[in-house]
Amino acid sequence: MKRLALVLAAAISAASPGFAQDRSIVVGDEQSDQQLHIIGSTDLEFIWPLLVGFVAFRSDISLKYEELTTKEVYERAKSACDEGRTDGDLWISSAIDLQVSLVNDLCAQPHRSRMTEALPDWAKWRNEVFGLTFEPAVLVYNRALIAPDQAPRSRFDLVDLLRAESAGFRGRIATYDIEQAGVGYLFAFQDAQRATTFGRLIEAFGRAEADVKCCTADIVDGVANGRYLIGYNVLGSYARARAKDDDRIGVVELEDYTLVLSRAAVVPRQARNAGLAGAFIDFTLSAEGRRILIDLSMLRQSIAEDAEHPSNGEKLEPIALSPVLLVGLDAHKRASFIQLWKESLD
Amino acid sequence: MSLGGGLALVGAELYGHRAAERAFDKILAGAAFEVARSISIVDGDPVVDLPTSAFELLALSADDRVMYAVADPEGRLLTGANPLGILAPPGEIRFVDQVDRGEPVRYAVLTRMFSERTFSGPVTVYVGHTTIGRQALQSEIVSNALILLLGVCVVMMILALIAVRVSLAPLRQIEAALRARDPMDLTPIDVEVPAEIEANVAALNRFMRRLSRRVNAMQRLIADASHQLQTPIAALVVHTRTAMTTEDPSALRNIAQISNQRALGLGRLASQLLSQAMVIHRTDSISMERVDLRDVAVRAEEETDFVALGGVYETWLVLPEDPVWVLGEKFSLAEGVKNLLNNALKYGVAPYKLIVEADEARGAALVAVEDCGPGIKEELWSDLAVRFARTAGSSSSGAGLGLSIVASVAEAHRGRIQIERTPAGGFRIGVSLPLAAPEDPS
Repeated sequence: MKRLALVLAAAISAASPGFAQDRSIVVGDEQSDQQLHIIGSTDLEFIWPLLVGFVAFRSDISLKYEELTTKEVYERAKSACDEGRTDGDLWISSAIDLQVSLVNDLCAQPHRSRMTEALPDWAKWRNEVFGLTFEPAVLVYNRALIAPDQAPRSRFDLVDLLRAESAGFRGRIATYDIEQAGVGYLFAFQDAQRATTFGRLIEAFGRAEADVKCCTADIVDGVANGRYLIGYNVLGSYARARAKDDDRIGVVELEDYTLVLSRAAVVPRQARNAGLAGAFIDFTLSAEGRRILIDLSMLRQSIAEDAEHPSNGEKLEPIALSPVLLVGLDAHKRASFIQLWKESLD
Repeated sequence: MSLGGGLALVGAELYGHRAAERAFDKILAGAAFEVARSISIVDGDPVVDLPTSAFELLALSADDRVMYAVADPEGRLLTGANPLGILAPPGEIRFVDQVDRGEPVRYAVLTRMFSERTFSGPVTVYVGHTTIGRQALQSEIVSNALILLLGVCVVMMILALIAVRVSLAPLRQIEAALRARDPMDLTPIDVEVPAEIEANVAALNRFMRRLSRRVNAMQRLIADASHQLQTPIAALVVHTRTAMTTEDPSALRNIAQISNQRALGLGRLASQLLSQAMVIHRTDSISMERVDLRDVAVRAEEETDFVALGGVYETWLVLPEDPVWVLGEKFSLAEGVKNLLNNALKYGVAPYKLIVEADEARGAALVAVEDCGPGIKEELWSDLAVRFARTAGSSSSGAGLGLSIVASVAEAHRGRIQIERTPAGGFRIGVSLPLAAPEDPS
């Protein structure tokens, strides 16, 4: 009953006129003097069950969630950190490289609990940044236009397909615009680090005149409506959530390897309610939090188990939260990588 | 103990610090080299192709934050953040300790020289990390080293305890042997002992030997004394008993005279016995010193009571020019010489000579008394001291114990009694002693 009331409160708040502009929401007891302020890059419509779940668990508080792009999350966090200001109690972003960079710049404070101790090493760094979800980078395809048994199972398949049917795929394959989409850049950069197929892949993309998009929704929408046949390196949580309600969308975790992103949470050094932020992290990693994330396709069972026991024998490669991610953020490295990308795709 | 512990602690700290520093500096250096190698000149500008492997190296220190910067010849930042503005000599790596927002950071600085058509000059690479990993490794090394040291200490102490127990076991055996032994058993202890305490046992046995000798001498003295005192006391008893039943005054006076002589003899005997006891005591308990035999002779001559012996005798002292050094005890030696002199004055024929001689060739010194009488019969020369000791009390004059004293003195000084006839038919008796070194070594 109580939960229903909370959901209602959230819905009302979301429907309020201010919502469209600043994309923020307040759930829970607005009279409470304890407010957890989360700044996140995850779509509000996507993450609200988790927010509501936490407020149901901690009914004595209210929770404010501000949705920003990954770039905005980083910029606000970084400037607050540099100026020693308080801006939010918890930063959650899929741009895990930027989150690691915040930790490296001493902008975070540590949090330790039974829950965080249970996280595998790759899903945390310095006890200051924690992976909360388990989201593979997947290939999506239009099931009406490509028979499921014809869909590529690996990058080799994909390269072969693009070569053989170059004409049919021309302009009908999409991936992220790595200049705009932080996640797209991260996945592409990881591809380049990991596999020798990368060169051939972007060359094939270039020949097939692949389209680049800023956002996951644009790619998945395009695949669903037949504008694209294939979308490459799409955030799996979003694709799976969409595929649940739309049988035109097929989702493939490539067998040669599948990158996995774990949305990262950081408690700012200047957080006003660091204790609440830690409690939110612990709740997300708890059984109840995991149940919600599993519903949202952001998790299968738990981070540790998902990494160790892939469901279909895929080769899952979680992107570790470590200072190695800083390499991709290097100005020279980024410029030359984007240049290489553009040269191949143009 | 605590000093040793403190030293071990400081040593372990130093060792741990250096080991950790070296290990982590290698990581930093490796990363810096990789970054430097990734620099290339593109269109006249240095471009860094930051290698992932360099950061994988740095990430080996799991909890440390990492910093890097690449700066152009003017020190301007090319990429990264916060160049230190320090240069390293080309081809060499420099390590610099800095503090970043309160945290210690160690940097490796590496300068690479470029001399290409479009670009020339030094490009400097700075790679640093915080020191959490170093400190963790250091304290791990230190605590491991200390645990090891502690273990070694414990093992050493156990070994030492065992060693002490094992090596002291012979002492227990000696203790047991001493406890089990008869109080009068003064024979040497015969227990197998390690070389380290052989000296102690030898000292103990030497002491036992001395004790044994002294006890034997005392026993002999007591046996001699009782033997010697019995006869004159019995004679005195007989004379006084006779006196009790004698009426005749002239016979009584005669008995009184004889009794007086006996009593005098008894007194002399008693003083000689005491003198011998003294000699035995002194030579056994007082350490030997360098003594000039000439002094001994002079002293003996001075102390001889010529009047008590019945008059003034002519005695010639025959002494060499130089000192005659022997190791001995002055009093005992003088006592011995006095006894020789007494005997000569009592039984010999004038003139008397008191002679001191040194025989450098044989290493022997002699102090002797010579007179012109026939002396002791030659068949009695062997076993002289014992024989005279036994019979000393039998004569009314109570002579003879003197030779026993002389024998004791000679024995105590590792010498011997020397008897000979002089070419002129006189009699010479003396004590021959080993010569000591002519100069006092000190």
